[in-house]
This record gives sequence, structure tokens and C-alpha cells, in this order.
Amino acid sequence: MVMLKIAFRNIFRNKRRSFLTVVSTMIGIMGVTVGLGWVCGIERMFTEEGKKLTGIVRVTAHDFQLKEKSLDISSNISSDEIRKYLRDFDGTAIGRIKFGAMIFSGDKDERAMGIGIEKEDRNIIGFDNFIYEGRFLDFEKNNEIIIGSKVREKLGLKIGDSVTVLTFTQDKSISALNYKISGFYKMDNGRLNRSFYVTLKDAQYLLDMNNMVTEFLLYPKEEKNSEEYKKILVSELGKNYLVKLWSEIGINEYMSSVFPVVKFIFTLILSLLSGIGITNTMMMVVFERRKEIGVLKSQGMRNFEIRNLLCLEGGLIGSFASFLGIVTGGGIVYYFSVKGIKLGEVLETVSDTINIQSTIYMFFSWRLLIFAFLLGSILSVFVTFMTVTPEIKKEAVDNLRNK
Amino acid sequence: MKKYLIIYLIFPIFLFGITAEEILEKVDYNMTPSSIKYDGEMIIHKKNKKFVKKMKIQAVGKNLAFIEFISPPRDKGTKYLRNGDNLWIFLPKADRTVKISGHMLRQNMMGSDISYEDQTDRTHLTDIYNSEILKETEGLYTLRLVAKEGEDTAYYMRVIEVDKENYVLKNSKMYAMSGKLLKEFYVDEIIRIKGRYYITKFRMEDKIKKGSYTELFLSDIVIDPDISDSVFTLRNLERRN
Repeated sequence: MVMLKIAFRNIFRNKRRSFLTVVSTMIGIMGVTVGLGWVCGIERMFTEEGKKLTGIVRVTAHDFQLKEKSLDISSNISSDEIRKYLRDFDGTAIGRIKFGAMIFSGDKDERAMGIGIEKEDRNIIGFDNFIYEGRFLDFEKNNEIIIGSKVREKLGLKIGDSVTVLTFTQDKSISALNYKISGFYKMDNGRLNRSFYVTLKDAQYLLDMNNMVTEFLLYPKEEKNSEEYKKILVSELGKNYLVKLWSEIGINEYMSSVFPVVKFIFTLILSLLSGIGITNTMMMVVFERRKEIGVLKSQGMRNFEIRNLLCLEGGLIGSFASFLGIVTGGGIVYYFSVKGIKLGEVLETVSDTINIQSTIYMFFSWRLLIFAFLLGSILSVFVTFMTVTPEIKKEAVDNLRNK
Repeated sequence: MKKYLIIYLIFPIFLFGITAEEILEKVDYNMTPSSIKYDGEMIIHKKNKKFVKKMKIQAVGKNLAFIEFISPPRDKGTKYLRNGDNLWIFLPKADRTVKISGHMLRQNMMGSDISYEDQTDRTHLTDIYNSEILKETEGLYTLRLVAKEGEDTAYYMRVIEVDKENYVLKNSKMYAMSGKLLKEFYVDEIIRIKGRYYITKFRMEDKIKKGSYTELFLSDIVIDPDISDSVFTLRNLERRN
């Protein structure tokens, strides 16, 4: 208690020194908080958006990966067959069909990717955020279509217009149907704006694929069960099917293996940068107090008492500064986790298996704040300890001579 | 010496009795009358499934062909008009005509193993292929046909078997320039109409696709009918029945 009292008195005795120490430590911790909020935000965007488009568990035909890029729908599977093995499945299971097509409107035509979806996709993909005119598909009606902004621009379309979708069926027959436009959407990934969505039922009719889908996606309520569902499907469906977790698919596979490393490196760099700042400040504080250490020693204070006192001061300043750091940094992260940071259309050409957003939302979490707080506090005490230890080993006279 | 040379040069003719070119001319005569009309039933066999499609076909000369599908309901009203290197497809559900040309003509028609070109091209084999006799057995001639220089043919090479009795194809293997076997054509039935032996049932197997083949049954065949030019027009193609 006496120590605490002395420590507080020392802190307030030299207000300018304490203020500068607090500010520099606070900036370091704020930097760590914001930096990690940014990295975690990007990681979260990749994982969440990846899951939206690929499912948490995806079932396809065994040759799907070979034919996926050319949108060859001859690689398809029966959704009824898969559902048979998912009686105890708790979550959402949907089928999708991706196919290549030409959209005709009057004399104009445009190549586009078509996607047949189920009504659950409204929430899964989050269409309400992307539809900027009109409405989502009505699954009670036939032959409705929603069209991406790029296709709309090229063809000069408006709500209520009729367009012809021309494609090849799974057995390569030419097939065409007319659809009425119910809405237009604009996603962050420009590639996805060169696409259109119809109901799965309409897509199956157009492509002559009764009950067949190119992808069957599972979104379990408890994501931790996804590995288990994968195992069940792999053992039941056999080698004609390919069952994959979202993290094993396309760009997700790369990202999920790279991101932990990137995050670790970022954390290390940010911690080092802020650590160097804190170390520098704390060392200066200790060196500045060499004479004071000498006086304390000559007055009979023991080495460990001096060390404890200075470490306590370092800890108090570090904790206070870290607290301020996570308050300001956390505030910034929280603000940008809601508002996002717009990057423009620089990410337009990224893969269409993920809706990479041009607006990055930082990731706010209490764990992040606790990490930054502990980093600042522990580092302050540690650095003070390491700096003080050689000082207290000196003779009091050397301390007094500022050697 | 001159005498020996003449004997040497004409010896192959005596050996086979007939040249490859002559055999091919007779095949062409049977296969490509100046005009024809028939009903076709196409049965597509695919992985233990069977799809039946019915159509009506009219063709004149080498360049003009008109096909209309009458069943199943999904394909009813789909029409094809071939004029030279162009093919127009009328898709009734979309009420739209689509023109395809070039290599698109080599796509398979209606999901069958028969391409648009296989079905609508009526070019004489002698016009586009150089031929040689590979083998002669008691009942068959085996000929190798290689595309003439400058001819853009769907199949660079064919090996055909021709019935010696009636000069009708029994079998045809179609190859790409690389030597890869692309398709195989088997004739199962022929009839004699107006002095020609015409194929009424054949099978086509696309060797690139696995587990599929297409049968075509021809009925109500009329050889050399009078077909109006108005049949082969876009107006007729887009006419609703």
C-alpha cells in the first residue's frame, strides 16, 4: 500500500514526463488495436463472404473442379440423393446451379453467368443489401430474374423488361426462355455484377436438370459440426461426389492457410513497433531517474524495493496508457466496423467465388482489446524490469554520478 | 516397254474393278438426292436413360435444310434452318431466332450425338474428300477418305465401309486431324426408293462423350419431292404453328 502511494506520488511529481510516457504508450497500443482490427476485418470478410458463396460444406460431382471454370453443368448431382443422408442435419441446406448464358434484350446481347438459387439465399448471400432497384425474386412466380448492374448498363434495362436467356442444357441442346426483371443488384465484387439470378426451379427447367444441381451447400447452425457432416457425406455418397469444407475450396483454401500466418506476422510487427516505442520511453524514464535510484539506495532502500517501486510505476503508467490506447483504438475500430472503409473498385477483378468487398469493415472484438491492453501493460512492466535491474546492481555512487 | 508401263498403270483398276472415287460417287448418289422429305425419330441413349425426339426434315440441294421438332413438348416448335454455312435456330419458348455458324455447327444437336452439321450438311463426299480403297472383302469395300486440301471439313479423315451390293454405307469412323476417333456411324437398315438405297435407321456414337449414342429412324421418306423455296426462309422459320 505504501509502495502504491509512493508510486502514485512519483507519477504525479513529474507530470510532463508521465504525460509523455502515457501518450507514447497509448499511441503504440492504439496502433496495435487499429492494425489488428483491420487485419481481422479483412480475414473475417474473406471467411464470411467465402462461406456465403461456397457454403460451409459443399457437395459437388467429383469432376466439378475441372468443369467449374467453364460453367459446364454436365457436372451435376441430385439434391434429393444428398438430402437422404441429412435427416438429422440442423441448419440450412440449399442447391445452386451456376451456368453460362447470353442475355438478349432487343438487338443487344451480353454474356453473363447465371445462378439458380433457393429462397434461403436471400439471407445467406444478403441480397437485401445489394438490391438497389426493384425487389428480390418471388419464389411463388415463374420466370423472374434479378440482374447485376454491369449487365443492366450494357443492355440498358429497366424493371419489368423482358429478357431472353439463351444457354445450353446439360446435354448441350440450345435452350432459351424469357424472364421478367424484378430487380437489379450491385455487389462489391464487380465480376458478380456481370451475372444474374433466377429461381433454382426456373434454372432447372431452362437447363433440363430436374432435381439436379451443380452445387449442394450446407450451412450448419453449429459450424463446429461441419467436419462431422463432411465425414457422413463422404462415407455415404461415395467417390462420385466431392465433399469439401469451405476452407478447402478455391481461393478460400489459399486464404485460410495464408491468413493465420499473415495475422501472426502483423501481430508480431505491430507488437514490436509499439513495444519498441514503449521500451524506448520506459528506458528513458528509468535512465532519467538514475540519480533518484542512487538517492533511494543511499537512504537505505533495498534493491528489490526500488525495482518493485519502479516496476509498479511502469505498470501503472503502462496500464493507464494501454487503457487509453484501447479506448481510442477500440473507438476507431468500432466506428469503422460499422461504417467501413471504401477502397473503390480496386478489387473488381478478383475471383467470382468470393464477393470481395470494396468496403472493408474492421473487426471489433473484446478479445482484441484485452490482447492490446495486456500487451501494453505487461510490456511496460517487463521493460521497466529489464531496464531497472542493471541500474540497481550498480553502486549508489555510480547512480548518483549518472554513470 | 510402253506396253508394260500401260499395264502397270491400269493394273489396279483390273485388281479392284472399280476405283475409290467411283464407289464414293455411288454412295453420294444414294445418300444425297436432289431433294428429300422425311419424318425422323431420334432416340438418345445416355447413361441408361432414353430420350425420344421427333422431327420433320426437308432438304434441297447441298445447302438448304429445314428441321422442325414436333416432340417432346419441351422441344416442340424448335426449328432449324440451314443455308450454306449458316444455321438459324428458332426457339419458340423465347420466341427468338439465333444464328449460329462456323465451329458452332459442330456442336451436337438437341443433346444427341449428331451435330448440326451431321444432320443438315448434304455435301457430296466426293467434293470434299480424296479417297482410296484400303481393303476389299467379299461383301464390303473399305475406303479411307482424307479431306481435300483447303476443305474445312468437320472430320479430317473417315474410314468407311461400303456394301458392295448396293453402295450404301455400312459403317463410318470419323477422325480428327490428330488421328483421334471422334464419332462412329453404323447403318442398321436401308430401303430402296426411286432407284436409290436410302438409310432408314442408323446409329451415331460420339466417342468423346462416354456412355451415349443416338439412333435415328427415318419414316415417310419422299425422294425428290417439290419443295417450295419459301420453306427455307426466316419467315417460315419464325412462323408460329
